[in-house]
Parts: sequence; structure tokens; C-alpha cells
Amino acid sequence: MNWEHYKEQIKINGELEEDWYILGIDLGTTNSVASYWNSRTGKPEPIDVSNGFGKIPMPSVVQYRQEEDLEGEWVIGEEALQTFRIYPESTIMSVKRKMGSKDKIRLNNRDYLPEEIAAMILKALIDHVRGLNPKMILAGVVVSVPYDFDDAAKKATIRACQLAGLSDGLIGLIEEPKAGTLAYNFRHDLNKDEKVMVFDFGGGTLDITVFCVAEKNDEAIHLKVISEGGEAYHGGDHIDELLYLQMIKWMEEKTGQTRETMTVESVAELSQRAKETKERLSGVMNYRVPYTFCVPPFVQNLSRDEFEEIIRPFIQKTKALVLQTLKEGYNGPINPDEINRVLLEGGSSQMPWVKRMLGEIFGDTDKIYVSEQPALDISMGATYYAAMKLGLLKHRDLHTFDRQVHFEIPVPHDIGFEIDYKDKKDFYSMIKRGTPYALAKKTMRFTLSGNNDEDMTSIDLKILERIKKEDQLDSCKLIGLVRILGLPKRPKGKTRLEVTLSIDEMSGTVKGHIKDMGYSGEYEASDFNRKFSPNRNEMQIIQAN
Amino acid sequence: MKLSRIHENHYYIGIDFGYHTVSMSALDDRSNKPVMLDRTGGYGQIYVPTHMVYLTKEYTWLVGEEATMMGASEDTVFIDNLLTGLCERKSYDVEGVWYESETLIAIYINELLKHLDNINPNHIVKCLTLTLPDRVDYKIHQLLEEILTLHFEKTKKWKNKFQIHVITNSEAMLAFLEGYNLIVRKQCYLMDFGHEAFRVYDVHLGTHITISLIIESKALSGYVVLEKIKNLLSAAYLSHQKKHDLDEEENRQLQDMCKIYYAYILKAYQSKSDVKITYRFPHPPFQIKLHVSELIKVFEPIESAFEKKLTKLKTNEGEYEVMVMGNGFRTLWPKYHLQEKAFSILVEDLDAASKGSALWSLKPYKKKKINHVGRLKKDYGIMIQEDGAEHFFMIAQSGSYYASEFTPVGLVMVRDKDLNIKVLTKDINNKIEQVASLALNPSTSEAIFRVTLKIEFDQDMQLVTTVLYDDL
Repeated sequence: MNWEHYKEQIKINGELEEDWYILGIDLGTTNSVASYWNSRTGKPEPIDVSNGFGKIPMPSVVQYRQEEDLEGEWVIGEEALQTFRIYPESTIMSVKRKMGSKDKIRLNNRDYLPEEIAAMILKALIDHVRGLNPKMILAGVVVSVPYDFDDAAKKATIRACQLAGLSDGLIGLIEEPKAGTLAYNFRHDLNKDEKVMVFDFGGGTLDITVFCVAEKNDEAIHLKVISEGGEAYHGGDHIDELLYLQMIKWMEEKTGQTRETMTVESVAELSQRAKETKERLSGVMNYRVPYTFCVPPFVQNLSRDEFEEIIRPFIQKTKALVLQTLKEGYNGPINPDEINRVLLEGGSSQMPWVKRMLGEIFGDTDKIYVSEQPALDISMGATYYAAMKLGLLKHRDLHTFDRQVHFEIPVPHDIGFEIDYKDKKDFYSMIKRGTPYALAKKTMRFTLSGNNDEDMTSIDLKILERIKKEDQLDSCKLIGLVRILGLPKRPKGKTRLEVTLSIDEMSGTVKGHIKDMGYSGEYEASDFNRKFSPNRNEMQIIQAN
Repeated sequence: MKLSRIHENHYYIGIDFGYHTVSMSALDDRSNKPVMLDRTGGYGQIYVPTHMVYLTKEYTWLVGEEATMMGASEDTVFIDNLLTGLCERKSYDVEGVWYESETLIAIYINELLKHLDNINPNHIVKCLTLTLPDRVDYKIHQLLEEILTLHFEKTKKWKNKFQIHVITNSEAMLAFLEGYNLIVRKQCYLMDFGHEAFRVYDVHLGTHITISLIIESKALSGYVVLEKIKNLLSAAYLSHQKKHDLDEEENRQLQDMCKIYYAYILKAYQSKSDVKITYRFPHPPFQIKLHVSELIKVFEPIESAFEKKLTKLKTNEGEYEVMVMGNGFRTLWPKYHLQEKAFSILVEDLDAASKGSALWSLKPYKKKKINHVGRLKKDYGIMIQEDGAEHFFMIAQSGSYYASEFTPVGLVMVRDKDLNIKVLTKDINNKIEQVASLALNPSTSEAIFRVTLKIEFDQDMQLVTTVLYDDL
């Protein structure tokens, strides 16, 4: 049974059955978290994979072990992270950064796609929930994705959910900063017209969302996203890499040992040290980095100032991304003074330079709030969204304390086609960034022209996504290629096709529709009328006859 | 009906200050109910170790996990066991400056409260309530209240003056019960499975609330469990490395590993499965497997001792319900035994002490409403010779419950002189009186001999003494 069935049942019964679980999953680059809807408290609760003994989040680490004479074993989560240095070649970290790509990951003598590895993480989280309640029935689940995930990455995430057995329960995807916004809204009293910037700085990505309280009365609150920015590949992992490269230089200077001569285990150890050093320098001004694997072993002192100097280009880029988000508001530029509060989410936002840099932009550190639970907010926000979609927050008798929440989510990037203007090719925007999802549907009519029969009976649609406003055609990301063959044979310029692009509200992925329109009474329309779902990795071929 | 909400910037704080960890809560401005505050933002645990470190080059204090991590670094002064230090009135030399324990606790709490600067830069602390274990002397409460007030008067947080209360865990539990409208029964047990001991209090609820300790077992403590885990990890490490002893660094690393593997090992025991342990600190790192049989050998005696304690208690057929607190209840087997013995669990919120103290911040009780019964009115001890002088050595402190488990003392006796031990009491005016005289009859012919003296009190609160002759 799919989630809509449970929605119907909840509507009829007016309550959630004890064993029905509504989940929100933050499938993170570094850590993943699942939260569930606690119908007793009317709030989401994170599921602690450690049962209260360790950390709530589960490291997004997948490992395959093959000991001599023993059967192979998959290890996922904390233990895989702890043993990374023992099995560096068969431990996969930060797979989220590869989502949507065709990169092959070789483990257990076979190639895996990133979504297959992500599916194992999702499955491990669900298995944990099932361990808490073996009678658990999944009524609905929402999975979060970064704001800057392109269409292919979103589709790969959906595929990961399917592989993890979540197809029926999957309500959809939610962009992470929007989930953070929802979680914050339910914890704090926001005033009408208040503008909040959510700065979600994780292991792999930086997502920046500005939203405002467009309406607020006793009955409802209307939240509206007014700008989005950031970058899908700009997170704490990149800082670790910069530091790691510097640490290699120190090793070369002190011992003469080079990167090429390091063992896989030593590379793993040094990369872990880089991460640890970054984390330590958030709390102290100086840290002594031990190089225990070197001969002779040595210790390198690093101050916080020196660390910030090493990552200066990264800091400058982060600042530029914040300024760009303010400049490219959906309704025009936003002045930093207009922002009432900046909310920091994600583990990387704990680095002291983040707060200082934002204080410089906004001229006031009293505006900078750190979320109470940055590690858990995204999954809790995703759970709120799932509960809203299942109708739980609409019943005032079920959720008496809070107002109904209307959340207007816009499309984050321009979606369109590549158009061949003969002298040059260009991007033609169909759905503009900032268009609310509910309105994200646009139709265009093409007239076929060409020099031969093949040109007149076929068409290639190249559907693209323009991530940044200033991006040229070659920087646009491919959503998918759709080739239509076997169209009715008509003279040049006498075939009109109607193409519609829309965004699926729950997954944020692009869908299309193509129809033969004939030619103004001269040629009758054929019955060719097909839907398509573009895929970056595989051209979709549609036979019209 | 809508509750009158707390202002978003107003914080009513509760801090549960334990012997080894501290946790902090605040009232949620929407529901007026307490929520736990997590300095790690969900990346770690809400329980902050009572460790602090002074960075001598940066003139900075760090507390909690950061202090633990920096503890072994150069140019640092590391301090732990803050509460024990406070009870024993210890002072610490930090770079030539002497700090009293209470001052260090005030610094620690100030550092803890800095978390509020992050989550709400416009916060105002309206009231702070600190809860201490019940066995901590009331005089210590008063002292800490004074020192905290003096300390915060000098900070910017004092711009808006706030109240500071220091209360006991059981008082915090009662505030929790009242805050959640749970005082419906006439009597219940409060079970605290903490780091220091497993304790059961008999609580009678009514116009006047009475609390008395009826069971205390230090053998059933989180500390004992942690020590057993450390022994398991150390033995496996030494065996793999083919070594006989641990050096200082190995000892420290294994101590840190205990915290990581505490959960894994207890979970494995619970599910009766093997557990893999990774030793990351040596080079090269390695992994071993602890077999479930080893875990059973270590933890089953603890489990059966717990079960045995429960048999002494009335169940809810006698209208007794149970409130559980303390990290020991995070494992499933204690709850399983409670259910098996037909106890009904009234409260199962392991953070109830911290949350209760936040509720106390909003609505302090009148102290007189709670009556602790069955507590010693005098110190119990013996006279000992030390550095050529004779002085009173305390074994059981005034204010402790009669049912407390008092630490036995080892005494070295001179055969020709010490054939008698006098058990004494000392009152508030330092008046000393003899309450028992124990004749000794050593079997040894040596000039000196050693005994262990244990004192306890029976159900009628009468003194019971035990003397054991030890080998030298």
C-alpha cells in the first residue's frame, strides 16, 4: 500500500496507528539521520542509532570486508567509520557527492553505482527503526536533498529509495534548507514579515535559503522562500582536502617522504588527522598534529590563524556565495539589513570563522543564531513535511498548539532547452528559478524544419538546467536527452509539436509531455501524445508511429 | 486553553551536575516544558563530562569533551572529579593560582552557559537551578549557591540579575512529577541507576512529601560497569600486543575507547552477540572480536545482583510505581526485570533530574515541603593517629541516609596497643561521643596487623559494624 492509502486512513480515523511510522530522512554526506513522527507529543523525534549510548546520527560510511577464508561482510555506519584505517580500500565515504553520476564504485568484485551505496545507508537506517519496533509499518517517508542537487542527483536519490525498499512509502524529496526552515518554524515564534537566512553548511554542501513570513494570523502561517544559493560541492570535506594537501607538504619537508611512497593505511590516517585537526581548531587556538606513521614520527604545530590562512580561498568563496544569494533574490536584491536572523545549520558552521564572516556581512553578530540541533534539524524538518503531506498538521484537534503551515517552495534553477538558432546554440528558459512548484509548468510549440526526411520526422530534445543565472550554455547541466522518431512525414515547416515541461512537486524532478499538433487545419494532428521522463545517463527514445 | 508563553529570549535553566557528567535543559518557550540542550548540536551526546582544562598559553578554560580531548596535551592543566573535589573541599593549583572546587564549578557552569550565546545571542537567563546528588551535604548546596551568585555577579549575564538555586536530585524529580501532573499515587519508588551507585528511594507523596533511601549498591554502578569494560578492552589489547602492562599513553587511549565502546559492548551483551573492537590508536591499527561468552561472564553477575535487589521491594500490587533515572536504565535488561517483577513504570525519562530542575527554575518549591527521612544526624567515624596527631576520621557523613553504602576503611593496627576500635559520633558542635567499642582478636603474631572496618545501619537505624582481618 502506498502512502496515499495511509493518508486516507489517517483522515478517516483522525489519528495515526501505533505501528505506523512517518519518517524524515536526512541522507547526509558525512552523517545520516532518521526521525519519526511521535504522535503522542505531536513532534518529530530523531532516532538514536546508538540507543542513547553514543551519537544519534549514523555516519554515511559503507564498508565491505573480506577476511581470508571468511564470508564477505557489509558494515555500515559507526563501525565502518571506526575501521576506515583498517579497510581503507573498501570503505566508501561521502557517496552523496557522486549521486547522479555514472561513477562506478568497485567493491566485492563488482561495480556499484552511487545510488546503490546510498540505498545501503537508507536500508541500515530503516533496519534500525524496525529493530526498535518489529511491527513497524512505513506509512510515509520524505528524504532530504541539497538545494543545489541537479535533476540527475535527485533522480538517483529516488532510485536509492526504491532500492532500499521505500518505493511505496516515499512521499517525495525535500530540499535541506527548506527542511531546516520548517524545523525552526515549529520551534520558534516568527513574526510577520520576518526574513530568515538559513545557512546550512554540511560536510559536502553549502545551502543558503532566505525565507520570509509572508502571512501570519491565529489560524495559519505562510512561509515563502525568497532566495536560494550555495553550492552542491562546497562543504567541510573540501576544507579537509585543503588541509590534507598542506599536511602532505609538511611531511615532505620534515621527513622527505612523499605522497607517492605512503601506504594506503597512512593516507587514510593522514586524511582522518586533517578532519580531526579542523574539528579541534574550532575549540582551541593551537593544535599539535601528530604524524605517528612517519619515520621518524614528528608533531606539527598549527594555529587557528594559520589554518584559516590555508583555507582563505575557500572562506572568500563562501562569502561570495552568501552575497550572491542576497543579490539574486527572486523578487530583487535583498539588503543584509533586511535579514532579521541568520540561522546556522550543519556541522561545518561550527567553525569560528563562519560566524565572524557572517557577522561582517550582516554587521551584527546578534543576528546570528546557531540551531539548537544542527545535526538533527534536517531530518526533523523532513518529518514535519511528511506529517503535513499525510494531513496530520491540518487537523487542529491533532496539532492544537501550532498554526497550519503553508510553505511556498520555488524551483531553485532555470529549466529549459538547448535551442539551435542556426548561427548559434543557446539556453532557452522554460521554467524560471523562483517559480513556485505548484506553478512550475510551461508549454511551448515548436515548428519542425530541416533539409531531409529524417529532419522532418524526428527531433532531439536536450533538456537542461541552468544552475547559476550567469551560466552559459556549456555550463548548463544536462537533465536528459529525449529523441522522438517516426513523426508523420510532412513538408518542411508543416509539423508543429507542443512540448510541456513541469516539475514534480514532491520530488523536484523534471517531467515532460510532447504532442503532435498537425499544422493549422492544413495537416491534421496525429494521435502522437506521450509523456517522458528525462534521464541524464540514458537517452530516452520515443517512437511516434 | 492556551498556556501563557515564556518570552523567546527568557531562559529558565536546569543543570544536573553529577559526579562524572553534567546535562543542561531549558524550558521551551512554546510549551513551557523542559527540553535538553545539546552543546554538540546533536553530533555528540547531551551528557558533558565533568572535565575541565586550562590552556596555559591561551589563558582559556575548556570544559567537557574538548577538555577531555586536550587533557593529555602540553601546556594544559587538567581537572576532573569536580563534585568529589567539592565534597572533599579540595583546592587546585592552576599555574600558581589556587582555585577552590566551588570556584571551578562556577567557571565550568559559566562555560556551559556560553552555549546559550550561540543558540540565542539575545538570551536572558531568568533563573538557574543546579541539582546535585542527594548524598551531597546541604551545607555544600548553600556554599555553591553563594559562590555561583558571586561568580555570575562579575559576568555580563548578570546585567539582568537572576535567581540561583541548588537542589537535590530527588527534589528535581518531584518538580518533574508536578510539572507533568504525575503526582497521582500515594507512594512510589525512585530508582537511580547512576554512575556512582544504584539507589532506590521510597517516596511518599501528599501534602508533605517524604523521601528515604532504602537500597544503595555501589557494586551496581555505572562506574563498575565502565571499569569492567576497561578491563575487557585492556586484556584483549595486551593479549594481541603480547604485552604484560600498559604504558601511560595506552592507558589513556583505552580510557577513551571505553566511552566509544560502552554502548557497543552493552548492546552486544543485550542481544547476546559477539562484538568487534577496533584499536585505532596503535600503529598499525587492529581489530579483535570479543565473544559473547566473555561478555556474559562479566555482566551476568551484575544483572543477577540487580534482580536480587528488586525482590526486596513491594510491587505495584502494593500500589507502588517506579520512577527510573540514570544512565544504567539505557540498557534494556533493568527494565526487563522491572516488568518481570510486575513493577509499573510511572516515569521513564532518564533526564528527569535535569528537566525537573528547569521546572524548579520557573516555579521553585518551598523546601520545607520535602522531608528527607532516615538520615544520619551526626558524622560517624573513629579516631586515628596521623603525622603524630590524633584526629576524627569520618566514615559516614551526617545527612547521609541510613541505607547508604559507606566505604569500608582499612586500618593498620599495632598489636600491643590497638586491640580495640571505638566507633564515635561527632555532632554539629564537634562534640564527640562513643557509640560502640569493638574488641579485636587478631590471629597473627606479627607486631602489626591490618583490619577492614565496615559500618552500616539496619532497618531500625541501629549501627552494625563488621571487622575483617586482612593479610598484610
